[in-house]
Amino acid sequence: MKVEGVIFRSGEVPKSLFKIVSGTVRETRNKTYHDLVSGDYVALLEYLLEEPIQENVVSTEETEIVETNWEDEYFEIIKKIVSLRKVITESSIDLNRIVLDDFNFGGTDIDEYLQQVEALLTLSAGELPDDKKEALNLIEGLDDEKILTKVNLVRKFIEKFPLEEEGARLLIETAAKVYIVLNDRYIAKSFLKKVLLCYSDMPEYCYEAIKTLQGIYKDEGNIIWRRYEKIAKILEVELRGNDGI
Amino acid sequence: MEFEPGQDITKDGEKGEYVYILKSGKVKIRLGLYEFVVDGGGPEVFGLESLVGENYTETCTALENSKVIRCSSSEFMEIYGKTEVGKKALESFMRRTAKVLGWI
Repeated sequence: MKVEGVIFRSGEVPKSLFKIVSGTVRETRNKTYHDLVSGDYVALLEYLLEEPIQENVVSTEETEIVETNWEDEYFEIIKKIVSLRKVITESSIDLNRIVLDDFNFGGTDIDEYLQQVEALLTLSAGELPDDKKEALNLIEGLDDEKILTKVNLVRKFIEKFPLEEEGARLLIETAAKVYIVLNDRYIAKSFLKKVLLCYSDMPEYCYEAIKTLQGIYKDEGNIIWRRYEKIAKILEVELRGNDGI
Repeated sequence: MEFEPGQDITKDGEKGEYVYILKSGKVKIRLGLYEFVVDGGGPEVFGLESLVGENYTETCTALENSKVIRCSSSEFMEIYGKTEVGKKALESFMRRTAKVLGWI
């Protein structure tokens, strides 16, 4: 059937599974949208989990969809989910062999860059509590609308608690959010490279940062992604050898 | 078959050959940097990647003595494919993915 406009409304629990034949459908979850194209399933997550749609699912152009069901599409659905997972886990590292030059920092002072961004946006994130747990609660309590405040607070967290493992996790998570929510590659890359510089003794986090960097460079068509891929492979082997992954 | 604590049932990146259905015990599932713990109350299914010829994308490790049913792809589809177990397997697979993606 041909559709234009709303396919599923916010709050609705999808009872049918639709596959896109042609056109584009936009889903929005947690303020982040995903455009679906031919071969994708509309609101697959909510259909399978029998949960309500967060925000209206709409076609953004004239779109043709066909009704199907999970039984007939079993293998295709698994393939779709596996492809989503590949976006999450795209590679690995070994820090013993990594030279900073490999990461193409190009003389960029990350803090200086972030300060420039902060000044440009005239942001004031406020002070971070001295208690680590309180600081983490403050940062993790911020929603996506305050992502830039979060960026600044994470940076302050790293300065205030330089030896804490949570710093690496916050940098990676915030970088991913910045990339998805703001589509800002520069802040995302800066944060990920900061993981490599500040948490080089935590190879699992470095692996995750390098995989994400690889994905970002690949998305922007920068051939340097191959270098990250190579480093990731080396690190992956190392981590496997150590039963780290 | 039975897995002892610490034993891997599936390993991220390894060729997916079997689907496993957890009958009893407790298993930690690691996907990316995220970890989920499941028990046999589900039933929980791991290794759906093997049904489409893909490598496993998560590492599942027994946390306590855990009994599982191991199925080849054809066995799983024949016995469970269109049942509630098959549906639940898809649902859990999707749910873990969505959590890591930050969708839920």
